[in-house]
Amino acid sequence: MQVSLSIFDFVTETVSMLASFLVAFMGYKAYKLTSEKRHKYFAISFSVIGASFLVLLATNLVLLFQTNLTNLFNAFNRGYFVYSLLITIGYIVLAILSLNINNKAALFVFLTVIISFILSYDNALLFHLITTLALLFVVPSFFSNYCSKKTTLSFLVFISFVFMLIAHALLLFINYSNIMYNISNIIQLVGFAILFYVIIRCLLNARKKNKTGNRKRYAKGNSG
Amino acid sequence: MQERRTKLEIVNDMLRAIQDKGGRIKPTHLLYKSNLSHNRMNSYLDYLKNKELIVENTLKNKKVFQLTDKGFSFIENYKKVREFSDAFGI
Repeated sequence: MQVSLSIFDFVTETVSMLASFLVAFMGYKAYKLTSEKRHKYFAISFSVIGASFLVLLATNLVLLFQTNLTNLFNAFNRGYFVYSLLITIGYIVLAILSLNINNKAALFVFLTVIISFILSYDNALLFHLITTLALLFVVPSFFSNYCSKKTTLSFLVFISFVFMLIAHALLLFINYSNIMYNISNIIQLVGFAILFYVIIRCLLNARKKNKTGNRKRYAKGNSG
Repeated sequence: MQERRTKLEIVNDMLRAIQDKGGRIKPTHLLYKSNLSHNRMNSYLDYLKNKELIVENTLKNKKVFQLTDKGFSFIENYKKVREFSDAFGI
């Protein structure tokens, strides 16, 4: 497995982590307001995805200061395993939400995937295959949301997940060509950057509407 | 045909109606603005009062419902959450 460390990796991981945590935060706010289980699990899935990038970022930082080659590979293997386990959990929960399956079936799918993942420790191909499959089920649900809402933001969310799907699918071919890793990294960065932009737009749009609402409120308050 | 409003949408519509009237509204105006039957509006009013989103006050010997700070922040959060859930379809 390639141990590559670059500024570009840090940028990709940082943007992906921030975008995921912001989505998780909004999901949590939605859950607080609605008390709907869907919102809770949505927030959990993105928190776990965000945590996976945090682990990857920490692993890369540890590698920076590690001089012993054995320790370096051990740190990388452990860090990468925790990262891949967490991101797999996040995407599986997201896929279960997208498929709208009942509690028992969801638990069965979740446990089967996670246990087989743990048992095949250090199998990068299985990791990329599972995440690609999970995203294959997630993307259509975002597409159908775009079809029903027809908004720019829902289109951008759909596109960002298409980018993530392509990024993970490309990593399936990493053993055939090393350039796949770099292309995948760029595509992943674009995907999460779009997601980051969507969340910022959600917050700004709401603030704009609030300002209009507040103007009305103060105008009425002053006149009466 | 228009879709049925969810409980959250009805709550938001009622709070928005109060906000649009400068933060306080008479019961008859609220009934008209919220587009609910008298009984349903009363049950929603109980809910809003229990959640401390509105308070009941008297102004010139007439009953009015007034938006609380919690009510104003509900409206703000609702807009953010609405934008978010529309974008992600959740």
